[in-house]
Amino acid sequence: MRKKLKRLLGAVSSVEQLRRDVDQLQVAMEESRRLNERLSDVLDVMVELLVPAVDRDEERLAESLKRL
Amino acid sequence: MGVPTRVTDVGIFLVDAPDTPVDVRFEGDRLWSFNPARDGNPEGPELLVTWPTAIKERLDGIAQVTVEPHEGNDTWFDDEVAFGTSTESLAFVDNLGHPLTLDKGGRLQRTFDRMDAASLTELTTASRRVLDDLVEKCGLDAYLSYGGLLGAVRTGKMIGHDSDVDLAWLSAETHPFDIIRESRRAEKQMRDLGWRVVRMSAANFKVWAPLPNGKRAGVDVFGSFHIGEHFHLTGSLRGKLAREQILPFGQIELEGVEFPAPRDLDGFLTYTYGPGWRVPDPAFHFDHPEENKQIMSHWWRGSRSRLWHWSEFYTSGPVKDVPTGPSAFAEWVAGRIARESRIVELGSGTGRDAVWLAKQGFAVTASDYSGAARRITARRARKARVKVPVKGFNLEAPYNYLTAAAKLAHEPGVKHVYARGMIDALAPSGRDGLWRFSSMVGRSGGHTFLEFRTRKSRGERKFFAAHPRTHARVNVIEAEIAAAGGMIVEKVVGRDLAPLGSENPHMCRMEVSWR
Repeated sequence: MRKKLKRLLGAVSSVEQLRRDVDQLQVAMEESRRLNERLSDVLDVMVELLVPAVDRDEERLAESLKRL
Repeated sequence: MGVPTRVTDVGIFLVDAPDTPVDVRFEGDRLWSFNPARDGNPEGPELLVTWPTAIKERLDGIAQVTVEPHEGNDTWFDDEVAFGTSTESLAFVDNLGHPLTLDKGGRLQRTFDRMDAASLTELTTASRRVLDDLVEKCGLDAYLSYGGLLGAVRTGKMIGHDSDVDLAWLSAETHPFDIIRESRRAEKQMRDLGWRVVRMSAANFKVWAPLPNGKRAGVDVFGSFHIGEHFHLTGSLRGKLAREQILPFGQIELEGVEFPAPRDLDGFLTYTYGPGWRVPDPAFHFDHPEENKQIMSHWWRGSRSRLWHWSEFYTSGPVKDVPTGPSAFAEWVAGRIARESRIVELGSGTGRDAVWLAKQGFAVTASDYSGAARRITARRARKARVKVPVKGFNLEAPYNYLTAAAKLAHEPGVKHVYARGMIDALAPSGRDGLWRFSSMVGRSGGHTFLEFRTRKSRGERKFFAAHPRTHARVNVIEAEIAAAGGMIVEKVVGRDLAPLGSENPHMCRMEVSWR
């Protein structure tokens, strides 16, 4: 009887653990999916500023900043 | 066969209504269509179909109402009904007097069944011009989709109860990041060509096309692509459809204008609308599985979390319950900073604090990512005769908040950031943007003022029950501020800080310095 109870408690605890794991995975997956758009945003800012900055083209740099 | 029907302020009550699309007419014009089985709820022996929000908000006055099945000659109800308290006649028309109809997105729109043939041809010709630029200048495989395609296949005409022409492009990319890049390249290219373009998500955008009559038409351009085993079409369609069913495109005529169309029309329309696509259903609306909506939202609408809710709220009746005077927090902040200093408010909502602070002599810039909220604030400022610029800062969109914060940081003088309820309203993923924005603007020496409901308020009854909220732990917020380089100058935690009606939440106020 005690063994059975122990096994049952063990199973319940495993299910709880799995539930927590799935919750964590869902959060991680959502964050990972959102990352594409965020990274793309940063890339846009970089691309628009980097080229004139490297060229030391102050006029274009000022123009790009104005346009952002 | 007649169906016993009553019409009241609450909705339409029916007895034993068959499962068929039903039209509701006001003064003879179709205003709305519903499906009793899908939209109704049992109310005693009757079935109650409540008025959709957009209609309910304007339901005040007297009108001749007709309720009848979409197909056949039956009429279930036809009588004058008095809604609300007004004795004026009630009409659902736009500012030019054109009758409006509720579209499948729940908005009151002028639909195609109200347009004359010349206007329809102008609209399709304008849409074709957009498509030509998408193909020739942006290099996209663009085609006719959604309602326009359905109408073209059924009759060669627009569907009467539809209100827009939709285009799509089939991407060759198969990773979300590459699809986002492709969508942005197309947006930029179209802008450079002189089109007015509005981003609707990271994978679809709207192009405003001018019409010969001086008006303009919004042409939605939806990304479609294969990722993994699924074919996706933005908004939220996700299912099985092979690339060979779409390419090579065929041609189809809509209102006399030729458009590229998916190769397997039956397969594509079944994917879009289900196997019943051939049968006209003005009550149709998409019922996407939750999983599909979630995946598509995470990929393409990450910068618009909760936006739909707030835009709905700021155009709904309950927004009138927001107090008009300043919050206690606004008064608290006003006592801590020098008059005439500059304040940037994040999430300004109805603008009650922004306008009050401006009236006290502060130079206030209001901001909200909801356009509906921005309009209310702008109106309030005009009425109060104070100058309050209203911006569309979005803390979930790095491009938006990085460029906004950089510009503000560059401007001379000290700028304070004011964010009441922002931590509540933001999804936790958006707080990174809040700290980044605040720390950049705070480089001038300005402080950030925060007020939010704490974890202790979770589960308590709220004055505005329906808002999605984050109840952050104070120690988590403290750790995030420290990690972002901030220092908490003052902290107040407890109740009686922001009571509203019967709600007296457990709050936290903070003043943060960034240098």
